[in-house]
Amino acid sequence: MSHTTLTLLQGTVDLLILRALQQGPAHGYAVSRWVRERTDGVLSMEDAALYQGLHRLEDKGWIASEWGLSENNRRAKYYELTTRGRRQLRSEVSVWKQYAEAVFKVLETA
Amino acid sequence: MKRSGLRRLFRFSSRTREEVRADVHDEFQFHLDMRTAELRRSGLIDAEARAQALREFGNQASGARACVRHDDRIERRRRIAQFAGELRQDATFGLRLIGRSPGFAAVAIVTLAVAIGANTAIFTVVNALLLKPLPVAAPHEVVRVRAGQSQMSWPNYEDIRDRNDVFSGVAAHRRFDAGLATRDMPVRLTGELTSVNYFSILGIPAALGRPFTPDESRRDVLVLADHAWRARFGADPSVIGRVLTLDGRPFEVIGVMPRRFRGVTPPGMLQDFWVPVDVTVPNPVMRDRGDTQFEVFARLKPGIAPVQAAAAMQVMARHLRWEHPELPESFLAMEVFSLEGLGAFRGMTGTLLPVFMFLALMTVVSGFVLLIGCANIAGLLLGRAMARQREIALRLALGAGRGRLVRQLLTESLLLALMGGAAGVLLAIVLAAGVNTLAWWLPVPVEFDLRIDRRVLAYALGLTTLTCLLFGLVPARRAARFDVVSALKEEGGSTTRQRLRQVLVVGQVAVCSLLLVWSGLFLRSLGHISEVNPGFDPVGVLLANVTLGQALDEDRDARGERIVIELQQRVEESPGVQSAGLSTIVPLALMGRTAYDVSTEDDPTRGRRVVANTVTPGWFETLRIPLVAGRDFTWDDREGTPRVLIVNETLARQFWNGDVLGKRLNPGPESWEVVGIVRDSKYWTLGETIAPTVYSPFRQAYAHNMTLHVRTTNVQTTTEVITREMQRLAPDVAVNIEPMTQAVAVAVLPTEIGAVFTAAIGIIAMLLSTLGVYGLVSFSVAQRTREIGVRKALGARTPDVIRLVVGGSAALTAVGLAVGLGVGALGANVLRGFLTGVSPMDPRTLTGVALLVMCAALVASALPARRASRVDPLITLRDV
Repeated sequence: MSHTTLTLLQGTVDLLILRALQQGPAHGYAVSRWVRERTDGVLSMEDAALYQGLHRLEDKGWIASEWGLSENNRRAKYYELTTRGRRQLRSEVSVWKQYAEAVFKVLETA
Repeated sequence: MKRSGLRRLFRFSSRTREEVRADVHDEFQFHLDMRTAELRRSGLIDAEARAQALREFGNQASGARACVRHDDRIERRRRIAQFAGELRQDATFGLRLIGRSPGFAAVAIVTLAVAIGANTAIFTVVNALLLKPLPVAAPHEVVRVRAGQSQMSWPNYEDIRDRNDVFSGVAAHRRFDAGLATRDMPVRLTGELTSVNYFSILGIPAALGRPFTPDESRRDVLVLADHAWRARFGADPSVIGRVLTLDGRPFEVIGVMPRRFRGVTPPGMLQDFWVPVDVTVPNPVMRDRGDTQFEVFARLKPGIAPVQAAAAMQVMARHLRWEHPELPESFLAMEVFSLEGLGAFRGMTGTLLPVFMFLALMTVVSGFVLLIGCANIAGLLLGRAMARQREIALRLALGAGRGRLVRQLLTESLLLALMGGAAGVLLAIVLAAGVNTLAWWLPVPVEFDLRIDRRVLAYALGLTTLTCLLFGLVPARRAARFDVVSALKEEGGSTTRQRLRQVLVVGQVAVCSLLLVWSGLFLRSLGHISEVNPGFDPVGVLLANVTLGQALDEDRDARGERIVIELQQRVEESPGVQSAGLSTIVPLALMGRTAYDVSTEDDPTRGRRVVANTVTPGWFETLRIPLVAGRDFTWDDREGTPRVLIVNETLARQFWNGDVLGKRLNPGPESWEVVGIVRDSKYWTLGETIAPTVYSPFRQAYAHNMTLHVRTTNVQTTTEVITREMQRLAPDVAVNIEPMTQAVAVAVLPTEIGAVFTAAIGIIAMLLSTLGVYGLVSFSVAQRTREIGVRKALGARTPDVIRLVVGGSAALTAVGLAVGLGVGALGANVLRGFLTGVSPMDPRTLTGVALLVMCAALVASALPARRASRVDPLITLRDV
């Protein structure tokens, strides 16, 4: 694995959380693991920032939380997307794609 | 992974701050534990695994703080949403309940609308009179300056203006009525003669053109009031620059003031125009320190309180009196007071005191009506709460919180109150508009600013909330407090609740009896008014108000004197006229009031207040006021002959025990000899105590605003003669002719309004309390159905049952009556001033009201009594 790790912009944290929760309700630890696995550790994010993101998004009304029982029968806080959160995810994904394509095009032609 | 059941359970619980913190901590710990376990699984030893997990996590403390901040916001929103949700739930439920008994709802809403409407209408008037700020810039800085009860003379005004260091400006003004020349007859306008700095001190710009300025050089300019501009000139902007002829003198219109600007006159009073005081013409009045005909107001310098200004004025008064020893001692009693609130009326409380008493009375009365309405609705709600006992008991048994239950019942009350309140405000707007209509009857132009403003709305909302609490809280608390077990066992109303309803009904009956007694007394006074002897005879007398040019220069005085003398002589010679005379005050017409202090020769330092009237020879004869001793004035009592006075009997008795011919009074620096005594007559109200009165002869005490009184048998011809002579003598002067009986009718106005108002409210109150009695009795019949059934089964006959029902309500009504009449007796003295020829404890009124109220109570219990008499004993017994 490459050892360069990229620091994340705040908007990216939000996008990653929303995308992770698209699979279905999950607790914070599961989100953290999902992100690490999907990016092979290239995108490094402190977990504290991840949790701040979770609570911030709940404050914004994009995700909702509830306490439940984890796989190993411990009390854990589960998050899921709200309707607004799903809508937000869709629009952010399309913006990101356009952005990435544009940047990529520029780099290709250079 | 997800449990929808849990979700339901947690949805509406909001967490405390501590719980939020603990939750965030738990969440972090869970994460760290899971990560540690995972790392351990991948081969790290315990301590390393933990260390790495912590490293990956980053700053726990600051992360937790951010999370808690977000969560607190979430919880706050959740709590609000929860409250709103419950409120919506309660409101929906309440609306459904209201919809289920539309009759009850209609009664409640109409009751509240009437009660809140009446109160709000009264408050609108109080607001207009006492609470709305003066329509000038920074109104709290504007103060009245007055020497005791007296107005100010021009020289004293000038000294105060130029020598004070507490005011940023001092202005003087006085009333100035003048005839405006039109194509037909001249029209009388009410205006003010003001110092040129008047508008700059008040700080209000003109709506059109400009007001006059402190350095105004012209004296023939005029500023119009908005309403006069609209009424006389059709709101035509080209009026600026036009020349109007007032009392024969030309004035150029230079500005129109904005709507509702009225200078510093009390609320309700209107001015038509303002013209600057002309200080350039030779006029003795303007140089006479004793001629107090100007009102003075000032703007305080920033940071100066009225008290400080008053102290400074008192010091100045002492200086001025030292320089001018002829100033009276009363001049030292310098006062400086605010022109807002009651201050606006100071100095004119003589005529306005009854108006205030009346307003206060009306406020109390309408408050009573509100109370009755609340009592009614409380009674009805109590009944409903009892009918809903089982429902409430069930909810309590199922675990509903009592607080929540009270809130739900209160929401229902609030819904009713809000609907009633909204309807009430609409009603108030209509009623308040009626007050301005009433003002048309008054002899002076009056328009109250009765717009519903924020203050009035706040008052109505406050009333609504208050009534809601009054009629909702007690029943709601009772409903929620009662014993679940006994209610579920279906055992009817406890005695305490019944007693509360009885107290309510007694209260209603008491208030309504009181109101009916008052309206009865007013009505009886109206009947007596024609029997009251005012001390003069207005029947067959014609009035012609001839306000001549104001005493602005010596020449006009001489001309005015000639006009008056010639007018009277011409009228006396015309056919059908028995006698004629002029005076400044028309008795009982609420017009033209003058009073000043006089001292007697024997006791020159003591000033005593007297009513002062200027009359011409023949006036006493015309009004049939008998001369008791001495002589009437003659045309030879004029400038240059010894100064003479006529006094009334009250003055003669109070000042000298009756023997007064040849005694001397000092209205000013000179002393005047008493040459006659006339019989007492009334001046302001029919119920008044006669005040000491001084009459001066016209030719020694010139006045410009005189009214001609003519006793004639031929009204038509006399009217023509007066009009023709005035056309010839003074074509620019407005003349207003009317029978004296009509002018005097104004004196009856307060009693008439009082009668109408209390009668209307009394009848509403009676309807409300009849409804209350009906509600109570029919409910108690419904409650006692089984008892009545048992009685009938045991042999009670129909009359016995009826007696049982009616007897109960009659007893309650009697108690209420006794309380109401008792309170009426205590308040009798307040009412005395409004009544004529009838004692506040008039036995006929009291008996009449007692009979009326008892009848109403009987009618109210007739229907339930019939229902009770039809109770079938069998069905009742089976129903157990």
